[in-house]
Amino acid sequence: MIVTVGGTKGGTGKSTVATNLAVIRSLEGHDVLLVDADDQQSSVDFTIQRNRQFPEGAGYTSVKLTGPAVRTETLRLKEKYEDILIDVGGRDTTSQRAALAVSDCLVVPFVPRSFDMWTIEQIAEIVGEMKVANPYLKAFTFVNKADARGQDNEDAAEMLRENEVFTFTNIFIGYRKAFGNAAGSGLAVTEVKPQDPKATEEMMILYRYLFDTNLK
Amino acid sequence: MPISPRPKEKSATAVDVDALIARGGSVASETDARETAAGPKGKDPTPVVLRIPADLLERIEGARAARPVRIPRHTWLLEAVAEKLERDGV
Repeated sequence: MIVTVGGTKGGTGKSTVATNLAVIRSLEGHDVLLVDADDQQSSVDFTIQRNRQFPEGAGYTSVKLTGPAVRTETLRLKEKYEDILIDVGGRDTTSQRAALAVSDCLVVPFVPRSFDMWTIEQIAEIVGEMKVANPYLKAFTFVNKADARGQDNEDAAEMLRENEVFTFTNIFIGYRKAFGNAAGSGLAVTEVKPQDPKATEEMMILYRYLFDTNLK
Repeated sequence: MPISPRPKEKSATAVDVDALIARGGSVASETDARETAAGPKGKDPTPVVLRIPADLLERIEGARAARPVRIPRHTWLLEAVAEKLERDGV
């Protein structure tokens, strides 16, 4: 399955989600390719860090692709890997559109803040356009960096439910330091010691939703 | 021929994917790639982002410090590239 972690807003946790999903998928024994299609290169940096942690290798293959090559190269590589995760930058770029042209599913994290929520129309429009090229593209949203308490999470969820282009997954991943700490060491949040059980559980819920529910 | 065949609508498979993709904005590295492919503009140097492992950088800094006359890191790297090209006969 080809999964793009996307959106048009920066700072929503796309690279954290993409790298965590890539690691977890590879640890479950699948042959995974992680495509970094973001010019910030966070996924590439994560993989460099991970390779330092694990001299035997990160457990997955990582490549950096840009622009229309994200589509053409992914098409070329898709027979060689069981799963491909594509991390794109938080803008409407040729890279993101190329990723959507070739993906089975797009998953968009939304931070429960106004500036973030206001971008849903823009990414929905892009998805609508790219579905002309890729009618089988499925699009999902979840709340990321959710607050520990308060009404904002549910308000954001309500807005996501109302959007007709996306399916809201009902998944909430909390704003937890464990994600940043793990990423800095080249680890998935499921690997870091001491464990943050909540962070692990929430990431696994997203993972299972994407990979165990036969979305393709 | 007075009667022409009925025009066919563009099929879904004939969608111009490249045009849809091109509606997105460019990314910084795309510009770099284009410049590299076409060669540097005129004789202006082309900026290249270099990612050096910490241990290698430490060795470079050591080599710079050992020279009687300190040179900028940039110059040291250019010298190293020039030496390799010369050695390889490029």
